[in-house]
Amino acid sequence: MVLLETLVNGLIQGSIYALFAASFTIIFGVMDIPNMAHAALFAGGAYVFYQATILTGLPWPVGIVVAVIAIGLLGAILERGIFARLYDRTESEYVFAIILATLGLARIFERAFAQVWGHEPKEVPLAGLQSGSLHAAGVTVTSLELLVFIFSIASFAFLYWVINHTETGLGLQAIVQDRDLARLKGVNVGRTFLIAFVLGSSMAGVAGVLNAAMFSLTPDMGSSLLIKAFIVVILGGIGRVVGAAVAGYALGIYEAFAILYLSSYYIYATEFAVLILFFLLKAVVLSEGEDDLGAAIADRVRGLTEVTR
Amino acid sequence: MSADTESGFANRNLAVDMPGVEWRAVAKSVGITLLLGLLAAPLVAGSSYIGYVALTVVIFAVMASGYNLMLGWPNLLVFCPAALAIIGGVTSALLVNVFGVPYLVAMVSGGVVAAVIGGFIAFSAIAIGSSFEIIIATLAFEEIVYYVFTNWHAVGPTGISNVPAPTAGPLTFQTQLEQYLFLLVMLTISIGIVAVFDRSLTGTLTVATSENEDLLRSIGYNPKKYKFIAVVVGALLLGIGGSLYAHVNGLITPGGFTLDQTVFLLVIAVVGGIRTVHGPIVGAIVLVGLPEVVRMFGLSNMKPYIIGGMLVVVVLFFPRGILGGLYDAIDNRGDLSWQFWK
Repeated sequence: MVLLETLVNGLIQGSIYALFAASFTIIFGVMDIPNMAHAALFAGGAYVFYQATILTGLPWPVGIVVAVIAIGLLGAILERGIFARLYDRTESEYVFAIILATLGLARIFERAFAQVWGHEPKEVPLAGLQSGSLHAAGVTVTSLELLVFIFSIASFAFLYWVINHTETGLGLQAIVQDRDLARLKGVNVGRTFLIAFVLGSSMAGVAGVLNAAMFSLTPDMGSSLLIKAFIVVILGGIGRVVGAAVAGYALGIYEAFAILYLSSYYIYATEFAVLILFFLLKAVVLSEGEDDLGAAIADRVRGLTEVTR
Repeated sequence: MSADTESGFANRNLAVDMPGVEWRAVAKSVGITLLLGLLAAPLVAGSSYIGYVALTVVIFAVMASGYNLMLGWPNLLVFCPAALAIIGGVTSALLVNVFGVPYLVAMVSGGVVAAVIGGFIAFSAIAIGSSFEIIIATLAFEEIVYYVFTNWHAVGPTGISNVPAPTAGPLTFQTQLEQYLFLLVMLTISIGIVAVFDRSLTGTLTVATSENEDLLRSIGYNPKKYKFIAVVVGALLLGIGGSLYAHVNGLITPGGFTLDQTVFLLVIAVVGGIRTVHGPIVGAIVLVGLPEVVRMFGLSNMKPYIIGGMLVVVVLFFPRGILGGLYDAIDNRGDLSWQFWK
């Protein structure tokens, strides 16, 4: 019984990580923008929803639409105003500049949210979903938890479709591989990046609304999720939508089981240690030009067995 | 002349490094720091509030100098200066509080422990290679350090309190002015270390590792060694800065040395001017001083806007920071950052 309950808890926790990581996959994983201000967009969506539904009194579907539009617009301004000016810098300068600028933006947004809406945590009701619940096999989940689970799966399915089956997604992959060649082949680089960034931002906004409804709304509610999202996207394989989804749920289930035996500090510490080990392993195992750790290890193992046979 | 050629060349070059240091330029850099610091001393003596701000400025200048050394010269994006600083601070505070070690010994030990950890970080960072992965790995390391210290009974979430003021033999630096003068001496030494590094062949070659590693390797130098030296020396200064922080404030908590502090050190280094000897001092004056000035005008809690806004503006328009931009303006003949004040 404990086993099933823990598994369900893990899946719910995993859905929250996956929900956040889904929007981060397109911006960080595919577009290669390590956006440290992503958590601020996430919280921003929830604040816009809170303003529209609770303070202004609009119905919740309108609130969601307003949040999507507002955060999408904010994303467009950031992409045009800041990121688009940095794409031409060399690799290490680009990473450094993006991280610095987005860390700065995160500071500004978090402070602005706190000044406009206040520091104290806020309850964000969402269509009465928190009160409804389902019982099955002795496990209880609220309707909201179910919605979050479904929504996170749907987000990944949607992303997978966008990235692999639409013109924007294919153009995006081409740009990330070779910006100049993509431009030469007639891909509209500026517009593709703008659309993708707006899409990622809007998804983050909706994810923020769900997260705020599940827990409570604070200006920094996304910052602990941001570092988890880095773990999820990196361990899932950068730019791989399915990998990120699996990694998100795996992380949630790991935490749900580990909490039965370990204090949360040790759990988080082990996650970060795994991340560092992953980078070191990758550095040691991979040779020039390879980028898939799993395939490389399989390759080395195959090489070994062939030698010993 | 085959396998050991590389190291053979490199060792010989390190040995001839010290006579190659431009001592006059170093003396100039150190002299300017000491002179301007002493000129500011009457301000410190005059008001306890300005004194408090000045102490903070100097401590952050020491830490940011160390951070600038790893960030600027080899262009290694190591994102855990706060972790290195608290390792130094906790080592030194525990040595003095628990074992009664004299302060200067504890301070140097703090620096050395931080430098050893910095050595591991440098080793890993060099192995990892990609700038982005180095950033994430070191951020993860910083989180681990935070969890370890908050869970360790000797430190805990409340940190170490009642850390005694710095002493040197019979002298105890108790009042603000005494502490300021002691910190100024430490800052001058730190600037001296950075200036010697900057003006030596090692420093020049470290800059070269960030420009073209393959070319450097092809003429017989080992780029990894220079990156390693820069990070270890930087970690030493960060550890000493952490120790100064603990003993001057009388308190050091793990919560005070997380990502926020890293970002703050980063902003100081970047705004002052990456890869400039005096950049961290300028950065610390601006970043520690400005929020205090703004607070005096009644606009409290503007610090996040100032820090965030500066980051964005500097990244977009002044990638070389205040001092770097100034040198460019004075002598507009390309990159002179390592020929500081010629």
